[in-house]
Amino acid sequence: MNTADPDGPSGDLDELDVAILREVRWMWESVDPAPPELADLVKFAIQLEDVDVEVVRLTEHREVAGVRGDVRSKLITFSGDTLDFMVNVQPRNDGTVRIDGWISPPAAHPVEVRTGEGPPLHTSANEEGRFAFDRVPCGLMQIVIRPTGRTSAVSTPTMTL
Amino acid sequence: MSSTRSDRHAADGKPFEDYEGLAELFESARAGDRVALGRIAETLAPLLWQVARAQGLDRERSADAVQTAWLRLLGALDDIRSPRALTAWLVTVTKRTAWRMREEQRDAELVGVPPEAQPTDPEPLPDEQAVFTDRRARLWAAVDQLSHRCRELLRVIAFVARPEYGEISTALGMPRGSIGPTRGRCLAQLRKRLLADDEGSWR
Repeated sequence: MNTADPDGPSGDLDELDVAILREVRWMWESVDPAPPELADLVKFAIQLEDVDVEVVRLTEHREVAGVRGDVRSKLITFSGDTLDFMVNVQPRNDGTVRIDGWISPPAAHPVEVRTGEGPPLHTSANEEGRFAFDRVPCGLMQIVIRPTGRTSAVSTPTMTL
Repeated sequence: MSSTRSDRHAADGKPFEDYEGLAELFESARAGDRVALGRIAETLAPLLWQVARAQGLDRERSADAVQTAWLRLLGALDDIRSPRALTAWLVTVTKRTAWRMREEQRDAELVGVPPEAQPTDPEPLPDEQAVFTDRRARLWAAVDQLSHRCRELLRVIAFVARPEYGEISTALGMPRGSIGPTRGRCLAQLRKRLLADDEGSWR
C-alpha cells in the first residue's frame, strides 16, 4: 500500500472526504428516505412499560375480501421464539376495527392492545388461544401478549391500522 | 455551499453532533424517562433506517427492524454506558435483525421461484435516478461500482458524525481501520473514482 498517496486509504480524512460523504448522504436521502412516521412508530413502541420484550416478526400480511365488497379485512401473522399468533383485523364503519386473534401454541395468556387513543385495552385468550377485541380505535396499534409464567412480554412492532 | 441544498435538506440536517444535548437525554433515558428516549429515537431514525435498508430488506420490514432494535434496547439500557455506545448498540442490533428478516423473506420467496428472479440489492428505479443532477448521477455510478460491503459502510457512515466513524464501522462488523481516523479502503476507492472523472469537478 502506498502510504505517500494523498488520495490513498491511509491518508487522513480531509475536506474532500467530508464533502463526498455529505453527497453520499444526500443521495441516499433522495433515493431511499426514512419514512416520516418512523420516529413516531418507535416512540409509540417504546412507551411500553415492559422492559424485557421479545418482538415478534411479521411473517404474512394478507388482505381478505369481506362479505360486502368494500370491506376488506387484514390477516396478519406474527412469529417469535416463544409463540406465534395470527390476527384478523376487520374495519367497522365507526372508525374502529374488530380484532380476532389466535395464539399458537394455544394458552389462556393475557393480551393487551395499545392504541394511539386512550388507555390500553385488555383481554385474555381462552384455552384454545383465541382472543377478541370488539372495538379498537384506528391508527397506531401494538399488540402485547404476556405469557403466563414468564416475565418477558411478547410484542408486535407498532402498526398503523 | 449552495443554499438550495441546505433548504431542501433543512429537516434532515447533518449528522447529529450535539453531544452535550444527547448526553443529557441519555442520562434521563437511563433513569427511565421514555420521552427522552423518544427524542434520541428521532435523532437516530435516519441512520438506523439506512442500516436496515442496506441489508436488502423491504420498506415495511425495515421499519419493523428499527422498532425491534428499540424495543430490545429497553432491556439492555442499564448495560449501555454512553450515548455513543448506545448508537453502536442500536446499529448492531438493527443490522442483525434486518439481516435475519431478509433471510426469512428470501426463504419464503425462494419457494417455487427460479433463482434468477430473486431480487438482489434494492437499487433505485430508473425514474428515481432521473431526478439526480448530472454530478449526482456520476456519484451514484461511482458508488454502484463499489463492493457490497463498501457501499453499505459508506451509506451508513454518511449518516454518522465523524468522531463515531470507527465505532459504527465496527458495529457493522467491518474490520478495524475501515474508516476513521484514516480514510480507509472504501472511501479511498470512491474518492479515486470521482477524481478520475474529470467532468465531475470534485477537486
